[in-house]
Amino acid sequence: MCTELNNKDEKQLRKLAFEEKKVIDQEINTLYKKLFQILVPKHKHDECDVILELVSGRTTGGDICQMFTKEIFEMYQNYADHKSWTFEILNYVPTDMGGLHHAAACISGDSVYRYLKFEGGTHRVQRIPEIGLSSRMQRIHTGTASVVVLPQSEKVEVKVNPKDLRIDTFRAKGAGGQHVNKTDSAVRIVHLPTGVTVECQQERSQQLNKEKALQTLSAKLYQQIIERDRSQMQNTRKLQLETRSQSERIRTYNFIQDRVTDHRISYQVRNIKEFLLGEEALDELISRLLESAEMEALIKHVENFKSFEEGG
Amino acid sequence: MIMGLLPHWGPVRVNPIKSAALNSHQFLLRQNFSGKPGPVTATDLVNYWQEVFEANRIPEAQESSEYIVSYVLGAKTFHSLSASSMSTPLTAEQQEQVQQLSAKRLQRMPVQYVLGEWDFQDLTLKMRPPVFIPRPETEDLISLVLEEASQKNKSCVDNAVHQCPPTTPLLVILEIGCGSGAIALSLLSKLPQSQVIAVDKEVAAVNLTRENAQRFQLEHRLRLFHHDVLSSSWEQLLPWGPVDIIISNPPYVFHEDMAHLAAEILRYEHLDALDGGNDGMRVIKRILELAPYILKNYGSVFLEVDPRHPEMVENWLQSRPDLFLSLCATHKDFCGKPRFLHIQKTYSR
Repeated sequence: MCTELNNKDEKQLRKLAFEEKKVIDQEINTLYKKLFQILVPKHKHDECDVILELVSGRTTGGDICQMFTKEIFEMYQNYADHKSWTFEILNYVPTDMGGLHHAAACISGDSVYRYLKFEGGTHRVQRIPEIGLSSRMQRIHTGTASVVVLPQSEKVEVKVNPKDLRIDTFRAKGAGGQHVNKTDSAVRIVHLPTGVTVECQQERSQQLNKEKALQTLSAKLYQQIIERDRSQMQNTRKLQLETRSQSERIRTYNFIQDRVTDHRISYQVRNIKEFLLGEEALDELISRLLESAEMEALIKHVENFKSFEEGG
Repeated sequence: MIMGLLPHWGPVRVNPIKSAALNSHQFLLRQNFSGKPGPVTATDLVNYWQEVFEANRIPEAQESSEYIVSYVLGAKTFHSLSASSMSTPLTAEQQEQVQQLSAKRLQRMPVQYVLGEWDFQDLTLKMRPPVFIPRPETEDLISLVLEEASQKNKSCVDNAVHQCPPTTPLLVILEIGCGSGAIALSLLSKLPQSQVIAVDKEVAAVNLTRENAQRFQLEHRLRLFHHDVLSSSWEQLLPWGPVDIIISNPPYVFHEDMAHLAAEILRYEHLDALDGGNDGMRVIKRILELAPYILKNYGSVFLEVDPRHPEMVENWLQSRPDLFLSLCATHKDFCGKPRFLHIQKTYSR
């Protein structure tokens, strides 16, 4: 370029042109990034708050799953803190050994679903149980915890007909009212048309327990609606990452090798303890997942566009 | 490991009703606890006291044990304790405190009095014997009043569009029999444009409501005094003129049912707050007789009653056309029992 501009006078002009090119290149780069962000199909629920549910897996290893579930739950609790989100426990059922059987929490804040949507799925742990002195002799145990991430949208209201609900409380039998003074405030709600059941016993006020249970119920029903939408969408374009995210084994926490592997993007992190703190290490992995998903979605989007062009 | 000690406490398992005998058992318990090896976690302690309560036939053994241990650890329920605080050993002081509170529960003291506090909706209220402990049903009574208030507000705003300046109307509410203050304070906190007059025939209740009002800094919109609707003059109830709403959870237990109530209620709660006379309507009738004098035109009365009462009250109102009151709705509680009455003043005198 510009080889003919070799005169002394023209050299200055060439220099100017190169400077200008540099600035323009930078601008093009920024615009590319912007274009990328605009083109990437936004997930409908990215801005939503989230209901996070954890259920410990069942293996013969006994409490290994439940200990792991507890650790994962605390990791997300810390991550919410790290992100300045609000983490409200809706339900927490511990085990006698100090593990966690299942739990649910409501996480609210800035774009919570965007960051947590790829956390749904089966998380696997491999470790030698810490209990017992002769751990060297013990074999490696494998356990799992299931994570479900439900977007909670205020925009789409799930209409729950009170007639469709069966609300169970300890008070169902007997006279009630002033005749009874009992303290069990636990509430269980069954949504009769779908059979979805939720429970809450976090509060001493029965009404607050009921409100929280209803909140969880509408999130669950909302999830069903989304899943119905999603299966309809799958016929036209397959969002493989999405369907994969809620069911398959997505990540392994190998304590023996002190390593976390995310199977979807073949990404590995050393130092499990740091990862479980739910700070930068987890955030970094989540960013990578987001990047990869966005790229994949964009490619699909463009392909769809191309086939549309060719077809039309 | 604690469970292993239980069989040594043979005496605890025998009939516990005599409280004199209980004291010696508690002494036994304490001795065994201090001799117990190893750290004691919240879970251990809950299991331990649950067994003790069960052995002593204390109702809600598990719940009682969980509430007491959670309270000592600064949580409201066992389910809201984090996993780490559940497995952290309790200090000797904490164990001692659990022991002292559990000793009260062993005497059938209601858990709410044992802890000295309980929640009504989102308010944590002080509880002290013999002031009536609010029941969960009553939380729904508040929701009914809030609905009524929001409708009133809406119709006022609609009117204001056509007429004069849109000022939010002040809602004046009278509560008869305020007890711990649960209803009055809940309404004050949820309706910032309201003022509440609350009365109770027991000085202990008036004092407790005042303490609870101060707790939430709601006393400036609350007029609170000692008053018995059965004997005092109704003019005292109108420091601000006629009211928009009368609300009450009056004593409504039929007198013949009183003997069948649980020991927690009979031994600790003020029975006048429950005993509604032969038909359970002694105070209900009195409130309805006063209502036409106290209410503004088209003002409302909200009452919590026994499920047998809605029909009885409706019949009684028909026999008293001089009161100009009509039953506009009966609402069910969360168990599906007809529990709440909405009565309206229909005619201006």
